[in-house]
Amino acid sequence: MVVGLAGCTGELDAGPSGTTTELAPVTPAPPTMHRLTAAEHRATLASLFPGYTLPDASDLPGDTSLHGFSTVAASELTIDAVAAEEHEQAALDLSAATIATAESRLAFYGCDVATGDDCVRSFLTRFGRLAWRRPLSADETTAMIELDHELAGIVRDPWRAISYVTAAFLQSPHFLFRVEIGERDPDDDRRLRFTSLEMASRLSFFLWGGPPDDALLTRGSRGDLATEEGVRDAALAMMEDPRARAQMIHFFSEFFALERLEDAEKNAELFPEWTPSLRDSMRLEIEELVGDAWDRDADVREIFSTDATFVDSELAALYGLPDPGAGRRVRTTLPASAHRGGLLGRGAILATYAHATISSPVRRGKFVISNVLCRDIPPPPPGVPELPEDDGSPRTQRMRLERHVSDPRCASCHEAIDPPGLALEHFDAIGRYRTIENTLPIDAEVVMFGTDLEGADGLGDYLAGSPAVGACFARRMFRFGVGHLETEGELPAMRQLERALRLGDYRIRELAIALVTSDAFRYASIPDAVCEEDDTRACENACGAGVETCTHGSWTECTAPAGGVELCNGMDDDCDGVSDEAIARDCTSACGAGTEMCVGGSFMACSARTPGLETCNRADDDCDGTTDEGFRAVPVAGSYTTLRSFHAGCDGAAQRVGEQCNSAIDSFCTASADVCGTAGFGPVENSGDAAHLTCVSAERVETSYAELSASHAGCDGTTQRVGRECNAAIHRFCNARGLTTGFGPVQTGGAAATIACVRDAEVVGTTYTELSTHHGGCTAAVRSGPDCNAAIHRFCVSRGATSGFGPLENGGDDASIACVRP
Amino acid sequence: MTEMRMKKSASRFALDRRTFLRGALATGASVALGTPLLDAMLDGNGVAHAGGEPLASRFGLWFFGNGVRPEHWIPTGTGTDWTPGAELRPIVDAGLKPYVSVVTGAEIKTATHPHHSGMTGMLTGMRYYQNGTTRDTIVSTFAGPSVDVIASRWIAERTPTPFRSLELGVTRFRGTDEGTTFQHLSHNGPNDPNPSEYSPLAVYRRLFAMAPDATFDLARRSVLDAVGDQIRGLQPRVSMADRARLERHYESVRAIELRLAASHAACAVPAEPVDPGDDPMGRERIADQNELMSQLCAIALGCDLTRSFSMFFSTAGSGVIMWPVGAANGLHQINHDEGPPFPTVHAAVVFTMQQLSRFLGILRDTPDGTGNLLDTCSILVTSELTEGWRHTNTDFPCLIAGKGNGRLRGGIHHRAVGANTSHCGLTALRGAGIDVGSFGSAEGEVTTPFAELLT
Repeated sequence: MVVGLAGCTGELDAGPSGTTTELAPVTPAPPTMHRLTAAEHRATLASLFPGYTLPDASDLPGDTSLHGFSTVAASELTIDAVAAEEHEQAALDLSAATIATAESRLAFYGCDVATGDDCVRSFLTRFGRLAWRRPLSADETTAMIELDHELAGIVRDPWRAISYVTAAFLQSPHFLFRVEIGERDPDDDRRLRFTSLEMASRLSFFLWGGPPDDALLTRGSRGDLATEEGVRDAALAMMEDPRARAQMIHFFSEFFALERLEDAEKNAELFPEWTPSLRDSMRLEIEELVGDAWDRDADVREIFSTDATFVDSELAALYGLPDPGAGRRVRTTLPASAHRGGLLGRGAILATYAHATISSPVRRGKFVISNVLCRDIPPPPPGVPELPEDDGSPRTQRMRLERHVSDPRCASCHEAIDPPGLALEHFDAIGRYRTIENTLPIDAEVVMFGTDLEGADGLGDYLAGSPAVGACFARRMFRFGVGHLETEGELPAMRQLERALRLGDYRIRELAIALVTSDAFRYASIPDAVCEEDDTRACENACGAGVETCTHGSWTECTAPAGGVELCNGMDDDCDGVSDEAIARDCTSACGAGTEMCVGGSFMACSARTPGLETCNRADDDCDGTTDEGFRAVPVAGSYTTLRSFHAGCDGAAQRVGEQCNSAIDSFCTASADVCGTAGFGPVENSGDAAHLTCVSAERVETSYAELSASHAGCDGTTQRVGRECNAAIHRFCNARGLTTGFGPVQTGGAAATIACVRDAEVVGTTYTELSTHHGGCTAAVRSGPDCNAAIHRFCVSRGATSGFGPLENGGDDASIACVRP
Repeated sequence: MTEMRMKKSASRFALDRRTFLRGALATGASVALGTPLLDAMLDGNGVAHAGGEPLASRFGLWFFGNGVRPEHWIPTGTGTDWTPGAELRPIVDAGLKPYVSVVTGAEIKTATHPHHSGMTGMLTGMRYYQNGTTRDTIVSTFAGPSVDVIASRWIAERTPTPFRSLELGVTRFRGTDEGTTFQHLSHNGPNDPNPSEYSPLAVYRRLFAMAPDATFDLARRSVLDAVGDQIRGLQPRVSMADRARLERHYESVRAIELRLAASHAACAVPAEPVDPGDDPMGRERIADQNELMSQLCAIALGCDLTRSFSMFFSTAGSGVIMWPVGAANGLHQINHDEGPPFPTVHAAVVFTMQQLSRFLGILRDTPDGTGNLLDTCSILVTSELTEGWRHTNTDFPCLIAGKGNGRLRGGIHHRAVGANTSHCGLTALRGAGIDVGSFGSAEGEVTTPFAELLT
């Protein structure tokens, strides 16, 4: 590594390879398969499954960022083992949802697939085109129909079979990757042109961040997008769509690495105002600034000097602006006295590029130099020299940095990196304005590339007038848009974009149009040939030998025997290296249909169970359609000693009834092998260490306080997490789902709450007067708590039930409760 | 499931459970989590070895970022007679000295940039692969498979398990934008990482959640087979680079299919863990996360769900905030800022070694066959730097833990000044019975292990 001495940062115009020629022809990059990024994958699923609940982002593969962008990594990385599992699970979950009800089936598949192949074929044609962003070939359709038949033979249900076919589409390389191969350019056979249909995807993923819709695919199929004019017309129309605005914001988020704000940790003692909602508000401010610039098709550099801002109460407080009122977010203007300049003086940037306790002129400076100005900074040299001993006297960050610069090996870079960061020193680690640091006044006057400037205002004005900012923006959008690190052959295209932006008054849309109509976006070079044309070579598979032929620089598939249909004979009939895979035949028992699987050349026993004696095991042993009948409620004489081992908070001292005890009881009931319960409530009696509880078979529902508060506003997870109002919310929530009532929350975690609904409890209206006869402590003044638990339990026992819980609803002396029976 | 049984006596259940914890966690470390994950392991039927093979060998990689403080790391004395400095003291205090050998003095022979060279040099024995030719700050990836992948492939070819390997992560800092070298640990090759999983619950679900259902599994296999056919059909139409990427996709899909096709001895399913999340101050619960990931790893090994793992305690150049030792800012930054005598960095290394000791202790305390899991393992423990202040690559930290089913002596301090760090990788591989002839390439290549560490 050579550390620059004369000047640390690379000059922009020199470019990555030192090429300066403006008019050199563009040599496009070879075509590369582009793995859908996390955002693109999500947008694609959303468009294919409108109205469906998509898997959590954490259950789908995430992105790795390379050279600043997820789209660059998308052309380098592939589908690892865990990602394939996540894709499979997501595909199975979504496809199962399509056949959940009779209505959803018809709505999704368009016809009754049980009526035969015509219906199936019409679905495959329609869905396949959207999922793979091109029409299926005849062979592909046939293969999918054969897969459907195979699946129907296994699952004996045409709806389940087609749902698995849907799942196959979502795991296919044609879905998970953008396969853009190109065709020979009719005007220049030394290069490839992306086909009109491929251009539909290229335009859509760049401008909309998601797949082409039906109309765009139609334009692609018609051949409209094979010409520069066609691409320009389509792009202009696409930019009017709200998806384009959202995508431009997404581009800026990656450009500024805003996702790092999510993980920015700040010291809670120094910065009590640092909350997730403030972080969100900071991010929204930047997004709105960018969206606003897009809407007005403004000079892109304006965001660095704008005084516009978008604030809610929290961010307004940070900026010293009037409170817009709770729950409101308003566009307003920062006064000149705020000295925040444009985007760089805003919370999102200042907090992201800072440490947990202190500002970081180096991080902020590096961000400006490398992200905003595209100047290269070499890594610090190995064997960083030791700084002189610190004498412990108060210093500002600037004074500390000046010690770095005292060493010539460090100075060459720090002299370039530090000035823009030092200009932002009026802002601490979360972006609060300050004039003093460590009892010393802040000095934010710097010299940047020969220009004197002061503070965020001066820096913002400098950047907003800098051609280098526009050129850098063009280069970064190019990299993001083509989805790979720019190649040497593409540098002329980048120069053209920079010029187009400059001549177009730095307007964003001008740049986007210049990019999509560029040769670098519409053409590809022919990938390096790996073999001599028409050469042949021997190959083999599990069944025998064959030949591969070199065509267009690459080898064709092996001509070795394709094999026959796999049979249950212990042999690898289809030559895929596995014997007897996926072979099964149907069988039935009193418990229903099953399959006999082929293993090692013979069929195994029927998978369907034979009826047995109903036992307490959370299964329908006797195949009568109900689970654990006769075991619905089980009383347990427990203790706080036991409960404490399931949740330390339920210790019988600090807590005898409440959220932690709910969790402990629930964990106990679900973990105890010979108790039928799938949930539990209580303590229904408690005294000293004794804590009796009741386990029941219930339907657990994972929900949230947000949802529960819709049933009863008081159960919002803040003012109340367990208690009467949550009881009512849960009762109504379960009731609305067709179950009798419910209890809980049995498990909680932040905003999440798991509740237990029960199907056949007996809901009884009673009074506190009545309940107080069972336990004197449960009166209308007390209303709920340990004594009422006991009163309700005893009341239910007196009615011949096992136990009970509540109050479900209560008002005045009235209370409704629920009894459960064995 | 006797430990889980709860007849009519709740107190008896509680007693049994405490007895189990005392027995299983004999190191005396505090148990903050109530999750009875290891219950499955203690069940007489819990430990199941496919094929009943008693001597399964396991390979592991345990990685932490930013290096150590050599003045506190390097033991005094060599051979079997050595005294740890403060940073290896937690390992000795946990009674793990007989299981852990220390190599000091070795250096990265392919060094050009501290973090990048250290990471790839140690884990592949090769130079880093620079991603792209811009003059930007280096963006790099691994030029070849990391040592854990060499191991997992070797093992999978001979004794396949349901999962070729398990990639687990502890601290949440996910690396800077300097390429996969800074973001991922396990690599199959350039830009082909095996990302670590950071959610214990997700790991648990991956290992245990899908209940076997013959019909459903058959349908899944048909679908996966069709997807495999699509990949095979696409490969000849794309560039060589894309063909290789599709090959990995194919392997990934195929792995699920083969797992469904094979019949595996069932292992008792432990209780579902709860992700530790942050404390009320917004700080990550590092020790709790380490505890759960360690337990899950032990269960996966004990149940023979895999014989290879990587534990990514923290990334290369990690900015993890080591709040348990009083750090308020990211570790990498403190390495640059703190200066001698490096109290916070040193404390962070001690804390990290306590976490390692906890992990190794769990393996040691988990019975396996006639011994314990650690007896069967060969685990390479290392970092990407020697130390963070000067970012050096000489006198590199390297531990080899486990007895490798008798292949590893354990308890040795081998001082090998100027030796190639690749000997560490090769020694760890040989310790797990992985009989590869060499490790690394060019200046990084070695053909002999550290014989001093082997029996």
